[in-house]
Amino acid sequence: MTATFALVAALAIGSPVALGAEEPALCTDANPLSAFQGRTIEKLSITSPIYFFSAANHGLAELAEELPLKKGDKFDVRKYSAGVGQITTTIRTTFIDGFSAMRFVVTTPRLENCTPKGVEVHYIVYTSVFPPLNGRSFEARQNELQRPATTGAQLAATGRFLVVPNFGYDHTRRGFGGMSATSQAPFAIFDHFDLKSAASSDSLTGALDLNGKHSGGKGFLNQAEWHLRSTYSDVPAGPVHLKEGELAASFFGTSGQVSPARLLLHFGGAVSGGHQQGLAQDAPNSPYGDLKFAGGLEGQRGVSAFAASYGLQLGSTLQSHTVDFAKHILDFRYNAEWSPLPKYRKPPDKDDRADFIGRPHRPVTLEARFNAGYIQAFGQIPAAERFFGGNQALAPFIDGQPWDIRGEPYIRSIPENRLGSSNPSFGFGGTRFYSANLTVGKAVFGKSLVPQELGRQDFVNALNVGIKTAKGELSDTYFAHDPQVSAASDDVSAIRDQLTDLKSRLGNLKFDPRTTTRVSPTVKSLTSDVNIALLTAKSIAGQKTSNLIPRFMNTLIPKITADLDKLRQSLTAADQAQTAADLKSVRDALDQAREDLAKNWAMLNPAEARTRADQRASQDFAPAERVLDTFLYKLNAYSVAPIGIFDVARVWPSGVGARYAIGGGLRLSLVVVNFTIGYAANPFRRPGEGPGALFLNLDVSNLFH
Amino acid sequence: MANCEPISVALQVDPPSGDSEIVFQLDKICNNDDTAEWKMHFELKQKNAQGTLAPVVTLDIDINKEDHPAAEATAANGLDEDQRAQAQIAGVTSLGTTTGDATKEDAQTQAAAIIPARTT
Repeated sequence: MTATFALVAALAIGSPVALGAEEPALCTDANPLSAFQGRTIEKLSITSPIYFFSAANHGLAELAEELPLKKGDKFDVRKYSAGVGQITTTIRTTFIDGFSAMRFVVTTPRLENCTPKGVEVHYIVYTSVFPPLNGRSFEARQNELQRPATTGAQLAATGRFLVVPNFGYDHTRRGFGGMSATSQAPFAIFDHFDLKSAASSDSLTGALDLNGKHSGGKGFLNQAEWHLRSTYSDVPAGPVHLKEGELAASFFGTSGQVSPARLLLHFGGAVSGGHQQGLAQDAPNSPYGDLKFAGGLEGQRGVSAFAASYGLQLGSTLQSHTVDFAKHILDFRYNAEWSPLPKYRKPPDKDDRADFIGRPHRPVTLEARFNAGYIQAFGQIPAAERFFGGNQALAPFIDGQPWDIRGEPYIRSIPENRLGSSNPSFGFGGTRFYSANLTVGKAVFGKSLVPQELGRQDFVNALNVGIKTAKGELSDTYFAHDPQVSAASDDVSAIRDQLTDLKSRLGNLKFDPRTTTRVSPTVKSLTSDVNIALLTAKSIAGQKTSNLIPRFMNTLIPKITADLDKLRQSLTAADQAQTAADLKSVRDALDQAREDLAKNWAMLNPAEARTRADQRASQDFAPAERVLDTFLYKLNAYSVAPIGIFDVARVWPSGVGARYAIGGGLRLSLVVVNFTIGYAANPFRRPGEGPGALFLNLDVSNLFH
Repeated sequence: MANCEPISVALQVDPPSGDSEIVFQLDKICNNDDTAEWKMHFELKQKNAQGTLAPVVTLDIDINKEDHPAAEATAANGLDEDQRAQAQIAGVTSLGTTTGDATKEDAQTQAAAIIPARTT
C-alpha cells in the first residue's frame, strides 16, 4: 500500500457557509448530546464549507433526505451519530476509482441554535484529493504574489470554455481591446485551443494556439506541453510599424525537483517561419525563420522564489540560406512575500492554525527582475527581432512559453517599443540591452477567501488525517526502497522457507481423537498465524516491502512461536514425544532466525533510513502544503495593494543612455479578475520623451490551467 | 469525562501500480446514554480482468473498548507507521483469501488489528 504523489493541486470553494454569515450558536460545548434527546429537529443540513474536489459536491441536499434523522423528527443521539458514517460512506463511494492517489473524507456533526424545544442538525463534510503532480513552477508562485485573491479561485475553474474580455492602455498603442478565449478541444495530440486578439486605432495583434499538456511524468520530463501557434502582430515602434506573421511549433518541458537543492529544470524549443515587414534598414520586407532554445532553473526557499533562464535564437531571412543572427537572452527573477503564518504549535501549547483561517491577509511583497540581451549579427537582422523595449507587460522570448523568459527590456516610464527607437539617427531597434525592475507592494485592505467559520479545530484535524497518512504512505515507499534496509528483505527469505516447511508439517499432523479435540483450537490458530506470516514474508521478499519487517518479526513470528510452545506443551503422551521434539526444533530454529533477522535489522540502522524517508516525503509534500497554506492562511476574496516601482533600462546603439522609471500604483484583485493601474515617471527626460507613462492591466489568473 | 462527539473518517489509498486500492473508514457513534462505540470498515479492491477495481474483501469490525483511545487518535491524526504496516498485512491476507492461502476470518483478524497496532 504505497503511493507516489506530491502535490495538492485542485482546490475549490463551495461555500454554503456564506461569507460573512452570522455564526450559529453551538449547543454541545457544555451539554452532552443526550441533553437534547427528544427535541424537535427544526432544520437539518449537510454542507461542505471547503472541499478540494468537486466530486464532494454532489447532491448533499438529496443525501440529507436519506439520513436516519429528518427535519421534524425527534432528536435521537444514536440516529444523529449514524448519519455521520452514512454521509462519509456515500461521499467516499462516489470517488472515481484510480483517479488520484489518496483521498479522505471527514464528517463531523453539530447541533446549532438550540431552544428548549428544538435543535438544528448540521453535518459538515471535509474532503480532499491529491492528484499526482511533482514540482511546482516559479510561475505558480509569481501568480500568487501578483494575484493573491484569485489563485485559489482559478484552481477551482473546471469549465470547458472560457471567454474573457481584455483591454488596456499604453501610450504607444493607446487604448486597445479584444478578447481571449480558451477551450478544451481534444484534437489529435492537442487538448486545448487558445484564441487571443487585441486591436487599437494603430495596432493589431492576434494568436491562435493549439496546445496539449502532459503531467505526472518522471525525472527530467515531469511536465510537458506542446504548441502549434499562428500569430500576427502589427504594432508601432516610434514613428514606424513592425509587422510580423508566423507559424511556430514549440515544445516545453519541466523536470521534477532536482535533488538535493530541489530545483526545477525547465527547457524548451521552437521552430517558426513566416514573413516580416519592418524598417528600411537591414531586411525591410522578407521571409523569416528561426530556431529558439531556452532553458533554466527555478526554486523556492521559504518565503522566496527565484528563476534564472537563458535563451538562444538563431534567425534567418532565408535569402542567403544561412543564419543571419544569433540572439542571446539572460533573465533572472526573484520574489518574496512576508506574511504571518501559523507556527503549528502542538499540545500542550495551543495549535494556532485554526486562529489563522479566515484572517484577512496583508502581505508585503517584493518582485525583482534583471534581464539582458545581445544579438550577434552575421547578416541581416529583421527589425521585429531587434530590441525595442518599453512598458509592455508581456514580451515572451518564445510565444506560448509556460514559464517566463522575457525577450525585451522592460521599463514602465517609456511607452511600448519606444526605448530602442527614440533616436532615429541611430536606427530603429538595438542589438544589446539590459533592464532591472523592482516592485514592492503591501496589501492594506482585503477580505479572506476562506470563511472565518472554517477556523475550527475539527477542520485542522481533518487535514491532519489526510496529510499525515498520505505522507506516511509515501515515507513507507521510500523507506522500503532505501538500499540501507531493502537488503533485509532477502533475510526474510530464509524464514519464508521455514514457514513453508512448518505449514506442511501442520497439515500432516495426526493425533488421536482426544488429543485432536484438545489441541484443535491451538492448531487452528497456529495454522492461521503461519498462513498470515507466510503471505507477509512473500510480500517482503517478493515486493521488497521491508517496512513490514518490524511487524513481521516483532508480532507475527512471536505469535507463532508462542502457539508452537503451547501445542508442544499439550503433547504430553509418550507416543507424542517425537512430534513435540520436532515442533520444538522447528520453533527454536524459527526463533533463532527471527533473532538473527532482528540483529541484522538493528545493525542496518533503520531509524536512519526512516528519517531519510520521512524527510523525502516531507519534501514531496512541501509544495502541496504551501498551496494549502496559501489557500487557508493567505488568500483574500479581494485585496487592495499599493505598489511602488523602480526600473532602469538601456538599449544600444540608440544614442541615449540608461533610462529610469520611478512611480507607484494600485493592485486590486477581485476573485478572478486582477486590475493594476499605476504611473511611472521618467525622472531624467530627454528631448522627445514624455514625463512618464501610465501602466494599466486587466487579466485573469491562469494558474494550473 | 468529555462529552461524546460523533465523527467519521475515511481514507482511501491507491498504490502507484493502480492494481489495487485500500479503503479504511472509522466511525465513532454516540449512544443515547452518551457512551461511544467505534466501528471500522476495511475494504480491499483489486483490478479485475476488465481493468476495473472490484472489491475482494469487505470487512466491518467493532472496535474493542480498550482500543477506543487508539481509535480516537487515529481519527484525529491518521494511521501511524505501525498501523500502516498492519493495514498492508491485512491487505496481503485479504488477497490470500482469493488463492486459498488465508480464510476470511484471517483477513478479519488482521483488519481488526489495525487500530490496536497504534504506537504513537
